[in-house]
Amino acid sequence: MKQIESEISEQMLDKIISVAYNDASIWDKIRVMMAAKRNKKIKAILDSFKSTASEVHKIQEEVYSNAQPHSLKNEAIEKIELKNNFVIDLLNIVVNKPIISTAAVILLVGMLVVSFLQTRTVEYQYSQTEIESAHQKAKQAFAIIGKVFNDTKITFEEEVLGEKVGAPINEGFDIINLLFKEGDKK
Amino acid sequence: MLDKPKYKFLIQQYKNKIYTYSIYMLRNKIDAEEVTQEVMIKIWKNIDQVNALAAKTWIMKTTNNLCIDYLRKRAINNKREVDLSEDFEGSFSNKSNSDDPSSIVHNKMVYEKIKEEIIRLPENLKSVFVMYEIQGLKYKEISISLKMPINSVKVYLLRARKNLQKELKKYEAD
Repeated sequence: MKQIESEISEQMLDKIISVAYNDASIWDKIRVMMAAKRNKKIKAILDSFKSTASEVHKIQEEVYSNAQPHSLKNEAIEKIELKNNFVIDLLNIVVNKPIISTAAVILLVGMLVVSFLQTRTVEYQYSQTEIESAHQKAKQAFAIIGKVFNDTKITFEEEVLGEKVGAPINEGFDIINLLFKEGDKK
Repeated sequence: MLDKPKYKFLIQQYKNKIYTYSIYMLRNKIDAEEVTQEVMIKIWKNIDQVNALAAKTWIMKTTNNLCIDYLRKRAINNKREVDLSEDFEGSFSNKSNSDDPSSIVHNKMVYEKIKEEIIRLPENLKSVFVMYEIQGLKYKEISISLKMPINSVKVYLLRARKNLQKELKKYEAD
């Protein structure tokens, strides 16, 4: 095997190892696979490294069961409660399942945005032309009202006071004067 | 106020990583347990400064430093070297799908041999190999934890893989 490896360039061997351990780039994978198809020696090396890599990847972390160290003198540590806790569970989810937590955050933000858009009150921004037009119309309305009041005043002074009120009073005074004059004669 | 849950979270998350790394580096269960406890104390003492979501590199750096200290002390005292197979006995998980007893035994032997050869790797190659292959750390995380450039991490990993392959070939030839 050593002899075979020496016949293959160091660069190629590095690529073969990366492919076997499954951390090579896609291009390196293609290159090595094609080379392995053409060259039986390369295929043999690749298979050999793949076999080792497969065994290496089976190795699991050792389990440390003594979570509460017996030899700790620090009282603060000894008092630590190892009960289930919401914060810890949440942190565990965030660290161990980043895709789920990202999806949850996106969903939550989406719901908040939709809720905000639905409840938002529309504040209409009037243009300068619209303001001027409204101002002009208000002025016209006030002018009409002013004219109506003016006409009413004139009508009241000229027609109501003069004819409807002044004339009967004058007539009344004339009758009283006449009665006084007749009284003097008698 | 959140110190306890934060501590509990960190311990739950990293105790096996600390222990695994220590056992591969120190080749000894008792020393590995002691290092794990010391790291746990350090985590508690620095709980205010540790960011729970980015603690991995700090914890692994601390573990590595403690392991180096232990190895130095051991080199001076030259004591407590335990047979590797004894330390890993019982931790073997049979992943073979075959029911054939000879196949199971062979797989177990290969598995044990690989573990043994990993432990026999030179310290600098082993630390990178264990962190990458067994603990699943990324190049950048290893680079920070071991204070070495990313390119060196890649080179050491490659060398470790080659060394391992070479030793396994020798074993198969025997």
